[in-house]
Amino acid sequence: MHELSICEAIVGRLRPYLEENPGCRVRRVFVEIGRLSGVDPEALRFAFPAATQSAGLAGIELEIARRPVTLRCCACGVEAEVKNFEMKCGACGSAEVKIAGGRELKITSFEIEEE
Amino acid sequence: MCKDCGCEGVHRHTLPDGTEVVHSHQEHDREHRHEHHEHDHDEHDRDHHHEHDRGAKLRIAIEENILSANDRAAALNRAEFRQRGIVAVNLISSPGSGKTALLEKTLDLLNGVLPAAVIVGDQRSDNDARRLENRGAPVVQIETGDSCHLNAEQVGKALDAVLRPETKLLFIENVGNLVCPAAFDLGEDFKIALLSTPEGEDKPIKYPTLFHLAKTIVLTKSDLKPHLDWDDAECRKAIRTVNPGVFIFELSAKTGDGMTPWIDYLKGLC
Repeated sequence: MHELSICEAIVGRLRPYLEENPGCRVRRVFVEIGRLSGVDPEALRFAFPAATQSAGLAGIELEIARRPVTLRCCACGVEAEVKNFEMKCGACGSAEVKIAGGRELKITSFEIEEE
Repeated sequence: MCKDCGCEGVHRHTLPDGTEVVHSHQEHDREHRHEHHEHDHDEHDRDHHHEHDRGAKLRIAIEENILSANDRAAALNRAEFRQRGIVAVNLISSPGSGKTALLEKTLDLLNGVLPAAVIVGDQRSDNDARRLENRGAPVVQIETGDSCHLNAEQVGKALDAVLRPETKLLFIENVGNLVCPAAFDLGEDFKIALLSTPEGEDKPIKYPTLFHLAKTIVLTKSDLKPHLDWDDAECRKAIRTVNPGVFIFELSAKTGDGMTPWIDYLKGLC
């Protein structure tokens, strides 16, 4: 499992901003985790305090938005969510599909307070 | 310039709960998007403004992949492979599914026919690299330590040592793991997933991310089928559920059965 290294990467991304703006504190960081990203949100939540603690940034909250798996059909153009990892278009049944969403592993924003 | 609002660098607006959003250019941002994050609005804030007694809150929107550092390193590797005319494949599978055994036989058959090179990743030990040396291809071992997957930076550092001017095909044997390697782009042309018969016919359904992303699936240890009451149709069905268009090779590195189409396929890539 590498959720701790993912947390360390998140914390690492905040560091340059904090160094440039010493009067600020990060209160929350918002991330998107797709269901195909290979990352478990609960494990991420569990590991996050350890990562912030060891960076001397304890107290930052992690807000996780889950993203479903969505497929875009190359045959009929429909883009829709799939629940069971079955890689075919729900509308026309074609197997020519591309993953449109579900692989997200991103920081969308972070919230700071000026002290 | 921001493609959404046309601003030159910094744009601010205030959400209904009083949070101010700053959308700014960070040094390595590519895409900029404005989003109202619905999930942070408290139920009672939705319809009216609140005076917040804490310090003013500011939200910095960055929309950046957490693994962006790896993505950048992968892009550099990819550019180098393209520039050198090398096809790079990332071999991913469970531990013990036969990656190294397949590469042993593959390198023997490609020796003198197609110049190949191998980067091998394991947490510890150079056993795999030793098994693969003296088969006509340069081999470099990466020990990842605690890490359960190879990353692009590690691969990048190994390239000078493993690639030769004549190299046409690079095999990257990833750490045995069906989950994490799928998330880490190494700069490869595509992923090859291995599935060995003792693992069971339905493995692709249990690990859909990897088996969907692979362009080719190799079913290994085919010689063990009789001992396992192996069901070909069930395995094909599982694969087609998550990856309908994938190439499938069935082989046994041990007996040599099925190796010829696999070698022809590799030769055809380059």
